[in-house]
Amino acid sequence: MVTTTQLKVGSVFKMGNDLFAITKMQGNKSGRGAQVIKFRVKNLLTGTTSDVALNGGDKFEEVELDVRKTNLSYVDGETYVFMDNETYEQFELTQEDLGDNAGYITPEDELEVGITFYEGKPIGIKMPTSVVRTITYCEPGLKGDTSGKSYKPATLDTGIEVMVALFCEIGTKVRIDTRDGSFMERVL
Amino acid sequence: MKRLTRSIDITTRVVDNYGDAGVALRLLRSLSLMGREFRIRLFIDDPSILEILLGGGWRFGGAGTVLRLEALSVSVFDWSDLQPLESEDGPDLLIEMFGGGLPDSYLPAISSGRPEEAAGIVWLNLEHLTAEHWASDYHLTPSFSPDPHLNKFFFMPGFREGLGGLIFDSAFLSLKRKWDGLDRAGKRAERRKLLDRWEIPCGEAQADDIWVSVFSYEKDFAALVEYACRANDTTLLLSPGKGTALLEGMMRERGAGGKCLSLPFLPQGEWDELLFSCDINLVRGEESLSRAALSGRPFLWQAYPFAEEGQMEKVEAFVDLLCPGNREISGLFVAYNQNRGCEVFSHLMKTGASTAELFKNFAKKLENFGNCADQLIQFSDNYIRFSKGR
Repeated sequence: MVTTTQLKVGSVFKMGNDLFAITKMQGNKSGRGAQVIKFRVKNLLTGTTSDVALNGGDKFEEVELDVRKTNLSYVDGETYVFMDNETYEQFELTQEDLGDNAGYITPEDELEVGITFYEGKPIGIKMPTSVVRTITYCEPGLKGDTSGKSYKPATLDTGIEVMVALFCEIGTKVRIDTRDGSFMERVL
Repeated sequence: MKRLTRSIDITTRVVDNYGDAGVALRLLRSLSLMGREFRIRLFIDDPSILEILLGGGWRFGGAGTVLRLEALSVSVFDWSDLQPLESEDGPDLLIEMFGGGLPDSYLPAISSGRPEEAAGIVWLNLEHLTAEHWASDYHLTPSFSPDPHLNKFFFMPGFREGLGGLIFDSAFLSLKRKWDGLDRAGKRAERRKLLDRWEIPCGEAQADDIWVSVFSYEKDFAALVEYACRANDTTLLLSPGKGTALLEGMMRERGAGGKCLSLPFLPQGEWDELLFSCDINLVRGEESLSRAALSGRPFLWQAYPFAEEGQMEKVEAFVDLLCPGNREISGLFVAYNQNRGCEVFSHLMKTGASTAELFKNFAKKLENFGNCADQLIQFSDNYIRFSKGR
């Protein structure tokens, strides 16, 4: 069993007779700092997508699916095409299948990602807990503020917007937590 | 004719202090004044806390002990002792307080005798109170339930339109109107009556002072002590607790113990009256924040401290709603939580009529958002109305 806080985008878990893949997550601190999390989940049996709210301590049976190591070859509209590094087989996933993980990868990367399969079909990708990306746009950095506790919006080289520490500049490499999109640190 | 919510189960854990059980009791009181008949069971992991909150007028005598609130009878169960629970007797509405979970034997007990075709039970996780924007993302969002008979949702109380509101009732509002309508002499007389009732000796002049109630976690009180020692027309009314004991000790050391009135533990209704009787309230945690905000009196709020000063986000979100653009008042809340200088209190005392109006209007706005208890029942009624099989 795993608790809600151990799940991340791309995880698959069982609830009753259904299997759910997480495509989006939003974690928040409730009273006394306890975690509450809102997931967007895709029911792998019915194909329907829904939002669910959970407490941090809720427990689930995580399902281990087959995983194949791939790289992202190219993106065609909303279709992401991945290639198996060993067999050169190609797999297509939609942006919806990737959920928030779509914001952390580009075809220019050498980043290896695991594609998860359910009943022989690719259903999503597994990302490392953090990725390093480059800021392509943000307001000028605030010199002297190295606390890392105040934030400003920044666009990453993948096109998504995240909140980063005030001292970050265009071109700064930053480590982003793929579980919730939060800024972790500047990478020198 | 389709029926409405008749039976309610409430589960609550006492994590620390009295806040969790206090909110449960507020909810029960509000339900008792709704003018409807409910069968209510309360499952609590420490029933003795209720004895304290009720001021000694009730004793827990084992599973199913009845607690009477107005016309409402509540059967109280110890979390760990659900033996007598009738297996076929699931409620229409289950309210889980603050994601505290359910007693282990609860679900098996209410599911075992329930026929397959029986209508679902509405299960609402009444979450913590927060002014942060994300509360709107969670309100009435479905959650997972381990039992197909129970349909679980998050229910967010709050300070914003579209959320579940705050818990209050007609008795609270009547008390507020009474104190709002008093002139200076009337207020002095009512204050004296309160102190007599609480058996607290007080000088004649003190009843005319600026009254500042203090209910606080342990914190650095240097600024408040500095202010209170300098001001010659201010009396601190201290609710019992580790924090206020510390404060009282510091005041005594400065030879200003006479400016403090140590209050006994007050049951909820009495504590509400304390807030109305004071000019300024310094409160802590969620339950007290909701009372202070509804009281319409100027107040400062100390948020429950947690890791990496995470509570400051909650403070900042709250002041954004209380006084958008008013940097002076919002600065006071932030400074109070960061233990900054005594000018915090001087400012609050001096800001005058416009500040009083700000807090009064905020309370009015919160009242207009509606009573949380009404909204819980309304959601359950609607769910029952529109669900199949009723």
